[in-house]
Amino acid sequence: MKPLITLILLFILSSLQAQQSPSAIASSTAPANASTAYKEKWTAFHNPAVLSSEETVTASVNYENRFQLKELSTEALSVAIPIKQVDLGVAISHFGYSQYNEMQGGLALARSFSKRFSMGVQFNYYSVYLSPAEGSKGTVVAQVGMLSEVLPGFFVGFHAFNPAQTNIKTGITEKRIPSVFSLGSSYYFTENLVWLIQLDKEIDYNLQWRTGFEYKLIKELSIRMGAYGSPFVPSLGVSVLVKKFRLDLNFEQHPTLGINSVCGLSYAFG
Amino acid sequence: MIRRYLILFILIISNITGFAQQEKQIPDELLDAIFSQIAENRETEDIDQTQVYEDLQYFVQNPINLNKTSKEELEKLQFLTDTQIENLLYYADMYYPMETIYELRLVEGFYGQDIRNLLPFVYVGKVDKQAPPLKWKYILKYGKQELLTRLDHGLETKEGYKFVPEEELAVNPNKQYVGDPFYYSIKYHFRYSNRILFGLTGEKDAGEQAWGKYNKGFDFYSAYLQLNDIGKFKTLVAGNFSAAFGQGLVMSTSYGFGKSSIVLNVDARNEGLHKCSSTDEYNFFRGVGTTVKLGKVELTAFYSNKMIDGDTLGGSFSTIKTDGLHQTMSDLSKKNTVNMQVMGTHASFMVQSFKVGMTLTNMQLDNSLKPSPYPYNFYYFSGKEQTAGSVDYKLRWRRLYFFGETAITDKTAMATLNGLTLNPTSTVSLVVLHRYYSPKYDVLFANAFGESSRNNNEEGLYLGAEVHPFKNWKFSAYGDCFRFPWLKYGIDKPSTGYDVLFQAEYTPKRNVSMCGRFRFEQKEDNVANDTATTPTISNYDRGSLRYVLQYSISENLKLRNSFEGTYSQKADDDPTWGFMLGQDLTYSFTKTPLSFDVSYELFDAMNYENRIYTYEKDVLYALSIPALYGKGNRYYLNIKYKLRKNLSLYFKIGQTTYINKDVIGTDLEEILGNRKTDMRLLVKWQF
Repeated sequence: MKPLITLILLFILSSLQAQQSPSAIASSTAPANASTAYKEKWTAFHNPAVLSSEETVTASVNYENRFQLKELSTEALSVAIPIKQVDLGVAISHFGYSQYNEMQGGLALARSFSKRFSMGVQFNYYSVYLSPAEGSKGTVVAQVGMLSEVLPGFFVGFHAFNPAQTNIKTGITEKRIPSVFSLGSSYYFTENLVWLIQLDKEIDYNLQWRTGFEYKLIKELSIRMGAYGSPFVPSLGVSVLVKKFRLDLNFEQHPTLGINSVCGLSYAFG
Repeated sequence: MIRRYLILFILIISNITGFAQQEKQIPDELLDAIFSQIAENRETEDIDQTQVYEDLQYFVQNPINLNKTSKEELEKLQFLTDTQIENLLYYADMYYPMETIYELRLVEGFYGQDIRNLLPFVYVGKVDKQAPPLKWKYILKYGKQELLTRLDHGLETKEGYKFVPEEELAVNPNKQYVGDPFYYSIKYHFRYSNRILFGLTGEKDAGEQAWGKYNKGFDFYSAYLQLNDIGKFKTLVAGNFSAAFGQGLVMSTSYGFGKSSIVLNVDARNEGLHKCSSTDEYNFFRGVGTTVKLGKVELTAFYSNKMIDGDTLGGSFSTIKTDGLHQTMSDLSKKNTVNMQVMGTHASFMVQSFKVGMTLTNMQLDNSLKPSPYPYNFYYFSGKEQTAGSVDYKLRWRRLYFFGETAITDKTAMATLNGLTLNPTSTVSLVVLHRYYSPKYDVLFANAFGESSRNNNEEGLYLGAEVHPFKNWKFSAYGDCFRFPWLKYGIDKPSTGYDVLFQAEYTPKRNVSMCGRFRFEQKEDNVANDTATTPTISNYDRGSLRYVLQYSISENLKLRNSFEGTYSQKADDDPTWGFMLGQDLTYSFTKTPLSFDVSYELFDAMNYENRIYTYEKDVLYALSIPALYGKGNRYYLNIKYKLRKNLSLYFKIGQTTYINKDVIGTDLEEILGNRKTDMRLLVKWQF
């Protein structure tokens, strides 16, 4: 009896002990960054399958200010172009400052195979500036994603970033590019209320959970709350829709590192 | 018309038998949910929450008529969420009059267990429009009286009750308790409808002297009188009373749930002045107070003057003794040494769904409070006088409910608490609460939401959610992330932490319910045997997993199985664990008004960090939530017998045995041997 209980408890606790996984990807403005099955908006370098739920050409900029440190901020720019056969997405992002930075540019393709299933792939060129001696090095990184409606209003998504575990080797060091596997779901209680749950696993880090709600108070205003762990990080957000503009703001409170904020602005053409 | 069919339909499909047949009592699941976690959070076994208990018990005896109720009244049922109250009032108003209690199933936001929890406290009946008149004739005729006496005794002799030779006592007078080992209390309540409430209480704790050199009579007396709705006077209190305003940042001697498995109820309720019949010997006011209602404005004022306990020396004292125990000479020397005067006023303005209030309080001591100087208590209140003021608000807009309070003290220390409850659909409720209590903020009667029981030196963000994703299922979860910007007792550096809870309840049938709960908390703590010049702190993790299955075999027989495992780890030490298995049985006879509970628990917990708080059934108004650790068993028998219509007898006997201990307790509480037996007898007489 003893070992069994200890085992169960240790298993649960170990999943809570995870550290924050590294990421060159700007956080999405999905509740608690649970973007995998969040079909309200496609974000650059997140699940490409979500691209197929975009209805018009949309251009977005995202800015993540990590823990109020300019050096750790990420800027991203993306355009979603839905065409009949296939949906196209273009994205670029930049992380870091003069002494260290990461750049990424990618092309995403997504397609709905039925009303209830869509798939997407994305190819990115990832480059990192390590030091003046080594300069910039780069490689191609792939992303794959799926999104399906299992039951009416219940979606399950899958997303793998860098599944082939491509890394960058220089004469001096090896830069590991995170390889993240995400499984997420979204459940629509009503059209205005969605509940997201997601599990992320970076190959070298512990499992991380995310969960959150988004509630459309009125057409123009949605609010979000959620959390991820561990440690327990609560996240609150709001999105405002003014004509064709959409403004997203998300805040996270890390117990030790402080406040992380994400801001997104997008414009829907047509 | 459609509604009538619906009601009929509900009546047919609901398994009516036994829905309300048995004698009404507070559901144990509810008491467990409310009190177990309070005990756990406050790290104490005896929580004196008789006030909450008595309020609930009052409504069992005098249920609320849903056709004639108010928000204020329903708020006293503190387990209801704010939204449930609104929905219930909306329904009762919309479909006035309600015809049967089974209509609760039609009220938005009420599900299986919620309804079962509510049933003992409410009924649906005709509206008796007239308020009972305040005439002696009626008061004497219809007033209800209740007399309760309780006696507790531990069977084993504790160290403090053993014989000590006089010579030794002369040298060390604190080697022995001054009194006998009995606990004894007597309570008298008089109630005329809800308009006149009057009562007397006397209590003697174990070890206190009943009649002798140091004390004659009870150690603690209290009396209260509360009058309601007398002209413009909404409330008048005299004697012992409690006061609570806003979210409790400045003033609250009543009680809030704080963090519990009832995750949504984080806002303060039960505002205003209330009589206090509790045997808590510190947390009350003694004096007079009143609330006047002038249209949309309510004005409250009170004055309290009482003696408190403290180790006075040369006009100052270092701590307030709040436990009310006067068992030794040392305790007696601290008894009633400091005079405390408290004045308070509160004004509130209310329109429809908006309420704003202002509180101002002033406290004066005749001796100066001077905590012994340590870095952690650098900002604690010291001195003779304290003034604090605050502004609070409540606002309901669509499916949103905002609440909060911001306070400031005479030392310009700030505290603010703001929250939002959100109810997007009937199946989902969410809550966000942020608080910031400056390290300098320390108000003696503050009792607002927080990780620490003292509302100071804390910042945190709490998120909670309650979801009914499928039929018969309920998920509750909260996460709270907090930071202490200044040092705390036992933590010699600013620190951070978080606390998460997830609970799933499943009620497949009316007579079967189960509940699984997981809780994890990470804080920081001093490293043991730290020799570094600058203190080092490290993580201190605690987790627990609990499963409870409850089912009734027949109308008479109820069973409960429980399992709980705990885990704890400090820094890089090896983790320690504990577990507990329990079996409870409740049987009530059909023909005799007799019921009994038997319970057996087996526990094996490596040390105090792995202790397991278990809710136990007990005699009326008594709460016992022992913290079990070590290796051993605990069993008890709890009997309730109604001798006559107005005379009930309650008796409980419980024993804990340890296999790895031959001494239990420390100092004067020490028992030689491995058994500890407790006994309790309560007689209730209503007339």
